[in-house]
Amino acid sequence: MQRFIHSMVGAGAVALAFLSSGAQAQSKEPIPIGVIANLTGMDVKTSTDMVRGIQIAADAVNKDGGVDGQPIKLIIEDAQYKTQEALNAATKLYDVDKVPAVIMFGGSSIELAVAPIAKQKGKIIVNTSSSSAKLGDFPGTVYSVLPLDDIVGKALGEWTAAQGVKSAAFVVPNNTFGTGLMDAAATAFEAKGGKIVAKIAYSEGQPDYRADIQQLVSSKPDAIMTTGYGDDSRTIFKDARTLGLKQVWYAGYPSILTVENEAWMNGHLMGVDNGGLSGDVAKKVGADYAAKFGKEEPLPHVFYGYDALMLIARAAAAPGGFSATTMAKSIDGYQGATGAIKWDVRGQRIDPPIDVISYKDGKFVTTGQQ
Amino acid sequence: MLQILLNSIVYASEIAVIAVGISLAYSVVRFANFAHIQYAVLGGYFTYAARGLGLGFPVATAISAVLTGLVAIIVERLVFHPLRGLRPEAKMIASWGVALAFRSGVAAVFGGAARVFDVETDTYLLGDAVITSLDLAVVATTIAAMVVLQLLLYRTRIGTGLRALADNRDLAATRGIPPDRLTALMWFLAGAFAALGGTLFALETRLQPDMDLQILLPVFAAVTIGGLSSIAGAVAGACILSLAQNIAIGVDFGAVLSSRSWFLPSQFRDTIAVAAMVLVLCFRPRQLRSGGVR
Repeated sequence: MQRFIHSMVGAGAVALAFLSSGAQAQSKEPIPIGVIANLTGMDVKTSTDMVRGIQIAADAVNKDGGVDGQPIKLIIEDAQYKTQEALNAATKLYDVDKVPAVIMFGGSSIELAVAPIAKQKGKIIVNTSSSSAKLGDFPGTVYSVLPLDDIVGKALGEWTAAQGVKSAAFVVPNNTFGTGLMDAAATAFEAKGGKIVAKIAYSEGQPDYRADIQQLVSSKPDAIMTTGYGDDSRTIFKDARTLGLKQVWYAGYPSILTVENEAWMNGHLMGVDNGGLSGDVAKKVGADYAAKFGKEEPLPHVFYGYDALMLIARAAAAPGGFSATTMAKSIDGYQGATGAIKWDVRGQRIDPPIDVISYKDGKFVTTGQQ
Repeated sequence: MLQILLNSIVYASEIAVIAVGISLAYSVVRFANFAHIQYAVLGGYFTYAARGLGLGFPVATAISAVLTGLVAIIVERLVFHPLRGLRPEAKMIASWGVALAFRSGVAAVFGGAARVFDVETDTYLLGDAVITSLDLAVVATTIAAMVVLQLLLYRTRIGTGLRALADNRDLAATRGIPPDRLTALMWFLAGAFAALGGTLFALETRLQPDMDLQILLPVFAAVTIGGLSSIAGAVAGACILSLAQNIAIGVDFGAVLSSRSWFLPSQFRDTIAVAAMVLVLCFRPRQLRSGGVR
């Protein structure tokens, strides 16, 4: 497995944070925290931003003297968006590096493969990006800082119907994330009287999706409901544009889609997304991000990564040290970059703030709350 | 059906340019060079980098083709030439190692994230079918490249020499044809065509270090269908494969049998390529052993 040495800038900044920590923090053994992300291959940008959010949080914790004097030490592994690489990374982190917890960027299918290993070893996964409802099957092991698909999918289906859409075709990645959100959204949409005319689940990593988009065209929907991420979403949009699609796209998590052509997509992409990113903590994290990584617009994953590390640090600082019990209680009174977090008994986020966002003039803007 | 045909022509154009390089190399050095696919990826990145310097697409692509051709020559001198006495299987495995090294190198230099050429396209309607200006440019470029290659091979002394070398290396040498120099030229041509094909493929899709995994199977399936050492066969193989793939994933089989729409999921595109290769290997094994540039 390829050990990924993340960016020199990031590493330098973390080292600087260690150096600038209090003398007490440096005198104690560091607490190793694992990070598994897709730093090469597919979905690199979102993973990179999650890692950056974690680094910002680690810097903040270490700057304040660490966890009872122990600095946080991040050990970052590259899963390359491959299940086997993620399994190798998890095994190394848990068995060799002895980390008590891993912050993980999926997708869902990869995270669902790693979860049984963590459960068997009595370790913790803090989920920052995967949203399959099946992640709720690992109580005491998987804690999610973002809501799962059943919640966001339901919100998408109901909100799309409320916009007056009568018929819709789905185009989603053929994985647990895509089909899970599609099923939840379709159920909610049909419950409100909408009609689903096509469900297209595309294979990730294809060079083009013309055939999939042509199926979509032939179903003649009023609108398209979608989710996805990164490079595949850009290719989907590109093929849709070149094949002359004019419909509006209603998306679950539109902010993680990659817009291919600003002018074509202007006003034609909207949907529901994780909210709560406009609070004071998020603004502070955004400012730290700009200072550390430049003026590039941070993705929401920055804030989820930040909250994940902060919750682990709170659990580690609790009486009795880090455990599933202290992890479950770490959200008590926590106001994070993604707002207040409430977990159900399984450790999955409920009652999350959900924003309605639209793509206008080259950027996503929040137009309301769901 | 017209849309399926258009899609097939565009996709065949992308992979045919890459495939002819493999056939050209195989006909002269008699092993399947897996690194060739990575030359295509490298060529795409060279073009991207040249575009980043503000150069126009034709100039950027030409520079990319020259650079990649030189890289192919260097790899031959450093890796394949020292191994020339070994069996083709050994050289094939070595070429896989070269490919992996290139993939890592590209990722290290350009990063793991995908990159996209910034191109504006116009869309044209042909009945119900759609084709873009980029599609037309890709097909036209491929046709032009094939004409140039054909002229080079059959209307020049260099081409005659290359064909002689492919038919019988020893005999060609006794007739005064410089085998090493022409072999280097062959590698240059193969690398340049790979760069052109990689650029066309990336224009239609995207650039990423593991793009070779998307190219490998269809390209080798195309040259297998057409015969490893046949340039015309590689083009024909690309057309046949592309048509089969696009029919398989583009036809509404559900509508044919019932009122319910059903398409073969697009991930079976690679399965079509594998099936085509298996069929050819089962029924036309002699084709693969024949030599000479045809």
